[in-house]
Amino acid sequence: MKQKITISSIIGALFKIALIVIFIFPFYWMVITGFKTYMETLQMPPTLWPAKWQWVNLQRVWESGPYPLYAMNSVIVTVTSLVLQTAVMVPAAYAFAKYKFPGRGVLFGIVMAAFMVPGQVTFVSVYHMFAKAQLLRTLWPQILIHGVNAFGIFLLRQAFMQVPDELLESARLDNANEFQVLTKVMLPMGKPTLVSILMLAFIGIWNDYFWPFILTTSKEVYPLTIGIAALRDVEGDFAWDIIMAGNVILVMPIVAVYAIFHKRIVRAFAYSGIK
Amino acid sequence: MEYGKQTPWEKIRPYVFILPAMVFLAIFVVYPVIDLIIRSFQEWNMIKPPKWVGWKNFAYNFRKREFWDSIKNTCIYTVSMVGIGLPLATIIAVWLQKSTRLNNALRNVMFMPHVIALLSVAMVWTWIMNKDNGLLNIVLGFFGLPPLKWIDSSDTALMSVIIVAMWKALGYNVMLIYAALQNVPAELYEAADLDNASRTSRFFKITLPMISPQMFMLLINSTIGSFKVFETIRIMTGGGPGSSTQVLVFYIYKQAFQLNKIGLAASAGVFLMIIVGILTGVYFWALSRKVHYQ
Amino acid sequence: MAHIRFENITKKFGTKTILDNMNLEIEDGSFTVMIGPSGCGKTTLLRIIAGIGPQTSGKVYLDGQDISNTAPAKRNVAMVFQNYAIYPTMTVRENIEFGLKNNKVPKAERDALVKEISEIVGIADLLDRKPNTLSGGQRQRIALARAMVKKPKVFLMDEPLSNLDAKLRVSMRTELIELHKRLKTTFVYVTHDQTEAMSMATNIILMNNGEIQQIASPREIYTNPNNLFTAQFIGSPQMNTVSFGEGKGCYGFRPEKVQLSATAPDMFYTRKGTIVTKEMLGSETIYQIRFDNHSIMVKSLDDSFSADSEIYMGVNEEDIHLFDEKELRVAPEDARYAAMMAQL
Repeated sequence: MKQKITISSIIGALFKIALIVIFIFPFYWMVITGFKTYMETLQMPPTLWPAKWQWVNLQRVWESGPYPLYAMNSVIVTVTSLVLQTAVMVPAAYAFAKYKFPGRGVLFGIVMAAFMVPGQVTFVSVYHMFAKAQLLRTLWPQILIHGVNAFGIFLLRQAFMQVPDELLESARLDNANEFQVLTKVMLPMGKPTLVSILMLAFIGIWNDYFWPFILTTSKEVYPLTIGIAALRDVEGDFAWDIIMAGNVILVMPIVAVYAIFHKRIVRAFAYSGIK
Repeated sequence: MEYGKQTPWEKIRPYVFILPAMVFLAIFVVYPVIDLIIRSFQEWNMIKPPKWVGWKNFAYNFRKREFWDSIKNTCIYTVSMVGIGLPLATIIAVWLQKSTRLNNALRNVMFMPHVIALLSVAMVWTWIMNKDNGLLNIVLGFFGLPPLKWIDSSDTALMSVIIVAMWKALGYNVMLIYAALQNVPAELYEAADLDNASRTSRFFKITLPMISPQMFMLLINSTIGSFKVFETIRIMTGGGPGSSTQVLVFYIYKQAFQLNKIGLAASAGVFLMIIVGILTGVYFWALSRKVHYQ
Repeated sequence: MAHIRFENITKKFGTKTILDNMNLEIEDGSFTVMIGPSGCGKTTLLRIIAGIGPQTSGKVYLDGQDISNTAPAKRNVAMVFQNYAIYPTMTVRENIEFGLKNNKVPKAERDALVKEISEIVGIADLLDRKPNTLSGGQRQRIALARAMVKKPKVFLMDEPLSNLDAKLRVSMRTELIELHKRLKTTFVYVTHDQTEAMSMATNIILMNNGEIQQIASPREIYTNPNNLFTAQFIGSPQMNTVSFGEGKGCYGFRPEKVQLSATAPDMFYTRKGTIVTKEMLGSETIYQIRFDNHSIMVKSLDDSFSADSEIYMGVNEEDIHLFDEKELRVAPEDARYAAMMAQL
């Protein structure tokens, strides 16, 4: 029996196309608004294609404040956080997966409980802790808050548990020390999972608005998200051309990564939700 | 690895490996929770030294209308995200279950908002929902409908924020449910065909029980996620107009960072933690027997 | 009464054709086993009967009635799946009565049926258990019960024993034969295991590459294979074949039809060779023997010959099978028979 073209299948397809429009159009709208002149954003009816692409908008965003610095901060915070996260996560996941030791269950329980306690509950205390340590004028709070990725430890432990013990034992019989076992045997086996975790973490940290919003008190440590949000104050709440251009800048790296790795990213998200 | 004789180093080695993670957890999760609980019993304005006041902060919050407004808004938001968002996502996931080109494209497109910064999503929707020359009102006008004030009216602001939040979360939920659906063996549906199962019977007797573990996780995650909503509100409405979109985390933020009433903020935070804990417990108590684990 | 007929059935998956214009009849009340190597189309055929993997074109008749476009549930067939496809979220009872409930059978009648069937297959005490607490054999019985409770005209079984251990498989085989005798309905059974086919079937359909090679009783298919494929597929070790030379066909004989002796026997076909290997299997012994650059297998009750020794083999005339260059059987009635036999 072949797929028959019926009225209901046509209506179904129309609905699907409508949904695609609903989910794509806001992004399209963001991009074209970001490349219009201010006057064109006010035009009625609105134009669906900029009369002339205003590349200068990007430049105006860039020059309306210390935006190169914000971008730099975002890059530093994201990269350092990912490196730190990896260094903390890998040995912990290895120990939880492959060593038996007193207190393992309780300690792993703490890791699991941690990812049930949202930062939106504890941010007041976290803020005061950093204030007391006089770190608020540095990038450290934004980096350290991402230092431990509880969910990442959980996922990586799952992956490490799949590695057969015989493999570790044969490596040890070949006189490998534990560091070599970890880097030469475990890491290559857990690499796909680790890459997925870091990809999700990258997206999360780059996009993060909440923690920088709480943990930054001066412009020199603003990341791009806070900077772009501030465009509304700098340029005025009506300057949608500039505000949208700023968001185009913010979104670009993520869109590029998604365009290239969307299969992998989707799988990583879906997988992490299932397990 | 467990062997008869372990050297001292082998005994402490696991602890050394997990030490960095535990230190971070202690500093950024355990300590703040304890600190928050202590602060909730103190009066502190960051200038004078803190003073122990017992349950006064809690009592004060409970008497405040603004606090209850924020609870009410948080609940409306959560019930919508969970009660409408999840069934909607389930229906769409089942609808798009077949791997056709159009379905795959739609699923990928719907997922995109999930990877885009909440900030950008909130901002572009603020622009789209602009009451004067926003796109939505233009579309309404095109169909001959009167314009709405969206986030600029206390009647529609919360609904507008919920629409945006759902728009962002829908694709992610669909993708998770879709992934779960893929793991249901095809023979079960074939057997059901031979057993003359109707569409509804197939869904409620086979599909839903089979994906119940993932649905259960999704339910807990979306509930917690809804209770901690903040960024969308902060960017789109700032809690207004009036207190029409004020939510619990926003209330905490306001007490702590704008009014310097740390004790009130902390006690509201403790309250939030308790609600989330109770809800998670209730879910487990009510549903865990119905969840099917392989 | 359940007689199945396929008329010009074609099945394609994408651009790949699995079955091409197939015509086939399955007798009422038979225990028909469809056998063949994996990918031969046997399961596809079964799924076409069930309606869960419908044909691309062609017609299926059940008792003369066209069911080509009938919904699976309305075909009056039941199926036992390879992995049993037991609903893991339902109890055993719910599994068995799911179809009855969907067909709005009243509760009293349902309970009676479940009771009757579960006693027949011996799972009456498991009715309130969940499937994940049961063994493979028990699940198999649930799958059977679920099929039986519908009192179908046709039972379809897709390698139902392949997930059981060897011992259980043998006992389930006997049980299925008894079940068939008792129910007297048509069984269509798919397997790749020739022992199952030979032991249970009243009728074997041997398939390869989407084409039917032979339809016959087990005895007939063993003694009178239509073609070289059938001859080699049925029987273990497989039939020995020796070529007459490029494009001239070949002859073959079964390993168990060879008589071994230390001195030249007085038989139609004799050869002298060397024993290369010897495998003692208990009641019988398998020898691998090499002669004139050919290697053949011999199954013998005599285990007294040792490896590396020289030996004589003899085969009776009626045990020699001839195949022409198209790999088709050359029967004794065939005009070419005498000339080909003369070449031996």
